Amino acid sequence: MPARKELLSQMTTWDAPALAQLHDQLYPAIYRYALVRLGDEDVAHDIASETFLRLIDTLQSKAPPHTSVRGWLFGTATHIIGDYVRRMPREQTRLDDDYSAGFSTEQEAEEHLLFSAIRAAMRHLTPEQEQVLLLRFGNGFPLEETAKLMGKSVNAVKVLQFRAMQALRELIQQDHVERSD
Amino acid sequence: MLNEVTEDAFAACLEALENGADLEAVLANYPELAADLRPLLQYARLMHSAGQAAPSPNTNALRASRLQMLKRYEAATYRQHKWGVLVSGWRATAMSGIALLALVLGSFGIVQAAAPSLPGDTLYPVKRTAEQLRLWLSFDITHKQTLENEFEAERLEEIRALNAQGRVAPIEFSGRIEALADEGWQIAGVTVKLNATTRLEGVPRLHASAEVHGLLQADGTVVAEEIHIEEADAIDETPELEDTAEPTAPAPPAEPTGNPPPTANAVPQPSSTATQTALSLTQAPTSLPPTATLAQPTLAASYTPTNFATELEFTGLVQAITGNVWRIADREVVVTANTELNGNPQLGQQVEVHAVWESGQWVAHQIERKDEAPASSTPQPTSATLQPSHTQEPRETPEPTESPEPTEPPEPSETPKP
Repeated sequence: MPARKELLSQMTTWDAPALAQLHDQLYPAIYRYALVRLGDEDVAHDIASETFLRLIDTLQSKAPPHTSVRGWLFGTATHIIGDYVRRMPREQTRLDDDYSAGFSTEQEAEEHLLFSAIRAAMRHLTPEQEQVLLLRFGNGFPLEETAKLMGKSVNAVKVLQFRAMQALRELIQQDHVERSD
Repeated sequence: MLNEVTEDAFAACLEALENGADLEAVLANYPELAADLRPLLQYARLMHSAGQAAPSPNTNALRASRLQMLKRYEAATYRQHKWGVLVSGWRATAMSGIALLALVLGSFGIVQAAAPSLPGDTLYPVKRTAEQLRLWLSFDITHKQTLENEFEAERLEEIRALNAQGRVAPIEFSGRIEALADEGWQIAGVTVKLNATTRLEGVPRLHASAEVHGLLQADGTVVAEEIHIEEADAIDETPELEDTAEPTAPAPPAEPTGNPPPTANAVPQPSSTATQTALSLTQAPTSLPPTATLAQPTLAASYTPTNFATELEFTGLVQAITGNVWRIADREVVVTANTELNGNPQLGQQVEVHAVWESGQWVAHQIERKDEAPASSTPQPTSATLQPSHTQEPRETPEPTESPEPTEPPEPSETPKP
């Protein structure tokens, strides 16, 4: 299987098999990225599919991705997710978590609620903050990989992930205070 | 400064957790920061768990996405010229120009380099352009036909080569339909699969010539984007029809042949039924207007394949009835016990057909007589097997007039576009 750099090179020379291979390699990660964020499998498929369509569109543009196609795909998926979430009325934001539903303990139920709150709060993060959390924790990419994907240094990612988490905590606490008022 | 310490501590805690350490044990290393770090690490752990629990994508959705992407890619890259030249944006245009120059200037290096290229390759448009140029430069019809056959065979060779490499690529090819099954068609030895987005032109029938545009899959099958099926060639199939253009006295009904009648579930074989139909029309009384023969099938009917493998509606003349197979406007439909026959439709009459594609054949759900004129010109069945099994005897089969005036066939009825 060709290395990703090689795939990128083939992609920019308009090679259909390379594109198909790239798609099949990265679709699952993009899908999972969207699923963790939104919790809806159908929407996650739509977002992953749209991400690859935009890749084709951007190949025709004057500014195709030159460095990391994976980073470009995750960045684009983040924007599509952001657009999707913005279009949704707040009350329709899906809070339940289909694929992990069915709790056997009270702790599981509490964690489920907390994770729903995390999802709801993420819509107020900046795209970069949202992306770093999903890449680092939702997809489990190590610091170095995340730094490559985001085109940042490892230290910058450390700072970003910490600030994103802090912002998330403040949003959740704020929401909790508002609900209890 | 405090933030920097906390950022580093957070990163270190995450690393420890990723390596399998317990949350409380990790926090014990940072007692003064534990209260701040605990919720952040808890969020991280929850998100990580959600990521781990996320199921793999649905395979069908992944394939659909890949197909959609490659279609977008194909649309962006290739534009089919009206002469069949594949043009691939500025790159292909440039390559085509180079091919033209190469031919004109006699420098065939790049064209030769493009010869082994396959669909999806950069030089492939050069190869196709060179082929088109060879066709343009060929003024001898026989030679041109030879070239066309050669290029048609080359398309199949390309598919074989792509298959050998397990490549996914947009392809096009032509060939005869060898099998029509729900799970896929066989065209020129290639398994072609249809889906809801496949555009279908023409009526699918065995042995018909078809042109396929689609996406070759890694498993060697082709997901068709468009299939164009050529209409039956009237001259090839019914050479005798010319002789029947002049009205003549009706021939007596033919004796039933020794051939077994078609069974209820028999799939009509176009090669034999075409001959049989031609015979029936040749021998049938000439009260059928010449324009209603196979020579001008498009005047006799219009049809709309609303969705592959589901429905077909068309209007046309009943040209032959052979057992349970009715030939209507050059299309063969199977009449079953469930077929609704409205208005006692008979040979030679204008009918509207609603059929569904089942097990490789069109099965009529409804046949409704559309022409209200008395069946005075109903042709005689040519054999006992021509009698439809689910209809009454023809009410009247009067002697045709000596020299009936040929009349224009009824206009095809309007059917909705797919």
